[in-house]
Amino acid sequence: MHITDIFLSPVVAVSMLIISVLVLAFAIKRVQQNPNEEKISLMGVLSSFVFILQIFNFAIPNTGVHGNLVGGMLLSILLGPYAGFITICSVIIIQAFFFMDGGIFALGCNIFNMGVCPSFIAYPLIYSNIIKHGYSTNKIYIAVFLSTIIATQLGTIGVVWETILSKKFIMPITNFILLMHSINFIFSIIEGVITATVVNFIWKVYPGMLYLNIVNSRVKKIC
Amino acid sequence: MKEKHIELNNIGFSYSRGNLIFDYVSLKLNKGESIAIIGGNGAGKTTLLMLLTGILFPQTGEISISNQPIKKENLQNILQQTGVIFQNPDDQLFMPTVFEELAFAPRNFKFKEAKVHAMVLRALARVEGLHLQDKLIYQLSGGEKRQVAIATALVMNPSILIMDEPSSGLDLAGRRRLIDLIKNFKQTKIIATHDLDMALEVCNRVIIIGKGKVIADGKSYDILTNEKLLKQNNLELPISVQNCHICGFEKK
Amino acid sequence: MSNFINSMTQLRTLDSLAKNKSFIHLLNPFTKLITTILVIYTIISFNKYEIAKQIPIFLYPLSIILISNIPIKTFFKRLLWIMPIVLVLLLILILDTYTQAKLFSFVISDILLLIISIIIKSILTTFAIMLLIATTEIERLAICFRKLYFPQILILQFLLTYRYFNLLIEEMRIVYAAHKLRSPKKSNIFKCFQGAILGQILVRSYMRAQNIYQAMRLRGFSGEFYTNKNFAFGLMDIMYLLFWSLFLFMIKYTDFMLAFVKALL
Repeated sequence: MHITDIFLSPVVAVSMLIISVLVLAFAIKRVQQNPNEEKISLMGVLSSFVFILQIFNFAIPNTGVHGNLVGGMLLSILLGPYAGFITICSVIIIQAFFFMDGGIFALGCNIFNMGVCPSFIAYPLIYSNIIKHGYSTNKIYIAVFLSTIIATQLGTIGVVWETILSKKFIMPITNFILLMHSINFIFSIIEGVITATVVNFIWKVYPGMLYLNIVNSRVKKIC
Repeated sequence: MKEKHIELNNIGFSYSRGNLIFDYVSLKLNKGESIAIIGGNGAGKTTLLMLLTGILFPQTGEISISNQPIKKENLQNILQQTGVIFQNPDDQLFMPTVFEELAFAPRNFKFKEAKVHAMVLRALARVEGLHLQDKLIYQLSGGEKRQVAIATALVMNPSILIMDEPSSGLDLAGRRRLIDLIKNFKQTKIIATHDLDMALEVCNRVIIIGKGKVIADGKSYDILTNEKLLKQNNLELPISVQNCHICGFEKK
Repeated sequence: MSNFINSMTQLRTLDSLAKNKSFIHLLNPFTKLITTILVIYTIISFNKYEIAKQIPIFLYPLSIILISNIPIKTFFKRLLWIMPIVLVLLLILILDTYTQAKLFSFVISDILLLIISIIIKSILTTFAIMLLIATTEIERLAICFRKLYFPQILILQFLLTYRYFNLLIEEMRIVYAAHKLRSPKKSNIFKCFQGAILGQILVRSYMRAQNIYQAMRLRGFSGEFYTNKNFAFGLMDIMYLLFWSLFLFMIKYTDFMLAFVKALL
């Protein structure tokens, strides 16, 4: 899912950087409105968790293509969209600096593809609508699966168009689009399964870690 | 007349899961005393220490240190007076080098850099660990980690030292060094431990807690030689006062 | 499992390399950050036909490696690790045009050019970032970001992630070992992806992370990291920045450096 510096033109990179920084500023403002001390350590743990998940590269048999998990959906589910977005941003920034996945100029694009799509599109539109009236194993599986696949596909659209607009790729456009979407579809299925099982486990063992649970219980108390 | 240092007044505390940990407990701890807090697993030793440091707040009652009640507002103030040593030094050390680790607390309390340097060196000298100062944390052995953890608690020169199982995971020579070290501290010491021999040697007062209450509170020798009382609380006589099961040697 | 250990040792080598004390290490992190960004910007702004012009940029990583006494070996290891990704991308490219049936001679040369240019660019960008990290302590970098008005919460995240990473690896190793000991015949790491095991690791690390965060709070931590690092701009910083910007400018807009390299060869 990571775009690297070398496939981007400066114009695309910088404009995506500006968009991402604006979204990030908005998210930080929302998080700082109600700071929660316990959340900070959870954010730290989750970002290193996602970071480790991303170290695993999956290989697709017979093609030699690699890809990794995104983790944006998992973070949004556990932390809520705003804190989740901040966390995925820090993961992407660390990867850019320490593992050279992506790069400094590609940060804007990567944050948009892997952060904005899951946290601000897939999470509020799909996941929280399905889970609205409480959790159950089936609901978790359906909600997580759907939202992960859609988030990944949206991210892929981002990757494709950022590359095409940069004009640094000489592959035919239709082939490129098809290739990227089909590869990422396979990855999103793997990611969906993993995210769903993890969320399901946490819901059973330690439900206090789930964001919507906290919100729901607060609503109940007020009523 | 001993001066009162820490006072717990009608403390009631339970975790959200509903199990009661403290049921209106009151305690008075005097200045310069060293107190061992003992009890079976799950008796609430660690919880008591967390209450004393302001990580947790009691649902009822009040804890005061030097006549200052612990509240969210004056927590920074209280924290300067207490040094805490965790059960697992890995939970305590998070900076890359030993020096940075020790300088963390004074820098947070906004001391000048020259002062910070002096404080760090003094704390390291107290635990005989001056040679460790430039090492990376992950290069340390278990005993050295414990040494550094104690130094981090000492660096602010607190008036209260709170220790959770300080002797766990140490080899025998390391344990001996630790005991000698702790004996020399002039501060008020509160030690939660299962190591009753250490408690007998280091502490002059022992408090047994369990079932949400203070079960016994008195001089360490009186309590630690009371076999019946200890048995009732899932504890055993310290080895140093036990009669030998193997050779039949009887101590008086 | 080897993946974890690899990345862990890599973090640690970079961590300890950054503790060296050379001329480059002592520069203001801000200077180094700007230089790195300038270098990468120059690299990505070249198009694929300008390969010869990019070659002099190699002087940048080479000189820094020499001055700061960083063993070159660590870098090559890292480069080997990144190469497959680039090669795979290229493979797709080649296969793809191959399926396009008609092959014109200039198409092939175009692809070859692109391959070379991508390899050079990825080596250079990787080098640039690695050199920044290997010569700058993470705390100094974080504080540099803070001085640039990055939000506090992001910096905190950045530092905590870096610290919790070790913790998580440890927990993972424990759970993995416990799992392996009880199922000796299956040693497939993908077993780790069973939600229960992964969730277990997550919950356990969360508990420990809370302990660490409490330990930090007990020592007066309230969200802001402090260090003793000096952040004044020296004459050296300005000289360094000027030198490299001039160098990059000459590479980008004149043929002077190219001629210089040719003369050397």
